[in-house]
Amino acid sequence: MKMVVCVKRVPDTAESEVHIDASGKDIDKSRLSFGINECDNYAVEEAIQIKERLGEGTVTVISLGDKDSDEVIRMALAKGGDEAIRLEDEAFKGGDGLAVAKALAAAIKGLEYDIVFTGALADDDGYGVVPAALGELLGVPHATYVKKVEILEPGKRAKVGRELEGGLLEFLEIDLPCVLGIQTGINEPRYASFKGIKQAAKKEIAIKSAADLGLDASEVGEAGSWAVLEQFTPPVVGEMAEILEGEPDETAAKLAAILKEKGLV
Amino acid sequence: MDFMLTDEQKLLRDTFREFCQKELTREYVRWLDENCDFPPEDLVEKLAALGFFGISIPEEYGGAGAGMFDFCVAAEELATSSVAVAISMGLTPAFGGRPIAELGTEEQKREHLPRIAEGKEKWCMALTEPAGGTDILGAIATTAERDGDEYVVNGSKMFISGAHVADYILLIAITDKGAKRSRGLSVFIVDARSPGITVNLIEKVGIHACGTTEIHFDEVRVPAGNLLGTENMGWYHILGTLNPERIGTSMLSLGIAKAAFNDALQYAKERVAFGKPIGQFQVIQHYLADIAIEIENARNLIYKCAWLCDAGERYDVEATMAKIVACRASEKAALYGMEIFGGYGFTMEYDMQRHFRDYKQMMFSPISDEMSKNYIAQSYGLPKSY
Ligand SMILES: Cc1cc2nc3c(=O)[nH]c(=O)nc-3n(C[C@H](O)[C@H](O)[C@H](O)COP(=O)(O)OP(=O)(O)OC[C@H]3O[C@@H](n4cnc5c(N)ncnc54)[C@H](O)[C@@H]3O)c2cc1C
Ligand SMILES: Cc1cc2nc3c(=O)[nH]c(=O)nc-3n(C[C@H](O)[C@H](O)[C@H](O)COP(=O)(O)OP(=O)(O)OC[C@H]3O[C@@H](n4cnc5c(N)ncnc54)[C@H](O)[C@@H]3O)c2cc1C
Repeated sequence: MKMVVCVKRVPDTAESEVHIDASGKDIDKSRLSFGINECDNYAVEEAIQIKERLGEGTVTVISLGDKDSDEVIRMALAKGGDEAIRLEDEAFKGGDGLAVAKALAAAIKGLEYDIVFTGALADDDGYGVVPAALGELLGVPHATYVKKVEILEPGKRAKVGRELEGGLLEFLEIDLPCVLGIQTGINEPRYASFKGIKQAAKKEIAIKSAADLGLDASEVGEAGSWAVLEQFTPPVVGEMAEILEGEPDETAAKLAAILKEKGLV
Repeated sequence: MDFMLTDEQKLLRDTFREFCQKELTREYVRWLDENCDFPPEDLVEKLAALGFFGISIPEEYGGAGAGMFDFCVAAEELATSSVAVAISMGLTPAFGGRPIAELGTEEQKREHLPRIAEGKEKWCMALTEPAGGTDILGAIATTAERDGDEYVVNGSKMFISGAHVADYILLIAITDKGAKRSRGLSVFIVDARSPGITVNLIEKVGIHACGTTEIHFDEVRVPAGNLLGTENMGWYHILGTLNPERIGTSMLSLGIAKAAFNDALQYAKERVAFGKPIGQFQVIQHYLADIAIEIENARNLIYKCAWLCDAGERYDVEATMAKIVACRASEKAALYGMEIFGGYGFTMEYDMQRHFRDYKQMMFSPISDEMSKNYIAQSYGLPKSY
């Protein structure tokens, strides 16, 4: 089975303070550390595990991003990925989920594939658009929030479990080729081994521009997007908000009075 | 000069960083300190899967064939999360992997190196004796006397880390009593389960999860084929092990310093006195700045030694300096860290007390600061003072 995994390099914002940068269109990333998008890490693991279970297959890693993305690509190779492609072009900049999916689809169309894995959601912008858009653009079925994958017949059919509210799983049978958006927790991602790292460092990452993929600059990036980012703004303290001040017993008394007055208790 | 890590080294660092974040959590490390005299086997297996034990073992024997620098990149992450894990897991590469790769016969290499790389053998090194560690040539009394195709070992060793779990002991013993001491020692590979060996744990102040022992050898028979290197050349052989060890132990000190610094920095941002975070007071800022400077100094010196080591250059004096700089950084971080934590530093509730206990071991092991300075001064042409 031929598998493709799309990975994205994102800043780790979980434990850092985030500030909007001077352009107002991005956050200041100068002091942040970066790594693979969390869901994508599970997607890489799922593809490698399927390859290991079936005892055959290849895993191709694709990322849209600049040279810094090589780090997440190589880590995926170190864990068991076979080949890698990176999509880099000025024209790709500022794209929404749809524009990113267009570039990825153009790259994937040129490959043989049975399953394309993506993460269900990106940690940074959180649109969750890419897997569905990719399925549509490739003209193949797709499923997102996938928490279980069972290959029924290699190259033909798979059974996938989608995570619903409250931990429920919805099971579907899906024809291959297909696109699966992987949810965290589907498996336990491995650590790369040092030998794997050394092998990965020697592997070639094929770089593709928009022109290489037969795409016009107007189709991708900001020009090819439906949604264009205007500005980031921190949440404004609303007029409805009232900050109670004073000693704890005073503020508690004021709060109790307000709750009573509004009929909330 | 290039201070950047290679892409490969960045991946190595990221892998170990991720591993430490997930496996060596604060709670786990605390649990180790309170309950273990050696990390449990499942941690050993996980580190073996990462290839930690084989980093410096040649590829033909199942390792990754990398150098001291790469080892340091991985060890820095481990030591910052848990110095006890870094030291206990470093024993086998330092005292098994390296000496055998450098001194072993083809047969010894084939027997041990692949198993070490897979994490299936544990090693310790027995050099220090009850009568002394600094003046080991004066203190050593353990003998290995030839008897047919065996050696018979008698004597005691003191402060031997990890012997209670070891499969093999790298033993240094007298083989020629008549010769000048430095020309009468030999190195042996001793099966730790040989009859006549008793191992007792010694209770200690810090680094609890890497237990230290005393070993008694009573008529222990060691096959002649287990001699490592050339008979009576053991002193010179073992110096080849002690120099890289000095880089490794500097890294352990650096780990303690970084851990204490990180905890103190976070606390200084959160703890409020006189209406502001204590990190706003200049004295606290200076404490933190002083630690940060020493950490940076130590780091640069350690990696320089690793680089010299990999380049095949001499680095014995630099590594001895690194030992001092790094352990003084850990001392400063632990002492100032205790200050910054106020009363809470003195409680068992926070980890600062552990850093405060752990750094002490680094002050004199494997070599004391005093002896280090003797050696450094001597290297500048001053008369030998000891
Ligand atoms: C926890 C722990 C783990 C250890 N692990 C191992 C191990 O795995 N294997 C192993 O072989 N050993 C191990 N050691 C031993 C360690 O290497 C020795 O403790 C060290 O060499 C110091 O020796 P000593 O403790 O006998 O102190 P001593 O040699 O008795 O020194 C006492 C003091 O005298 C000072 N001194 C001695 N000579 C001079 C001089 N000429 N000039 C100035 N000052 C001097 C020293 O600096 C020191 O301050 C370990 C020790 C500890 C505590
Ligand atoms: C074992 C033990 C026994 C104790 N026994 C008693 C007892 O019997 N009765 C009792 O009432 N208390 C007792 N204490 C409390 C003790 O008095 C306090 O720990 C001490 O006052 C410090 O306060 P703190 O721990 O809250 O530290 P903090 O006040 O939080 O100070 C933390 C750090 O910030 C620094 N700092 C704070 N303000 C400034 C500033 N303006 N400029 C520069 N640096 C500053 C401090 O010097 C310290 O380094 C005890 C504490 C311990 C640990």
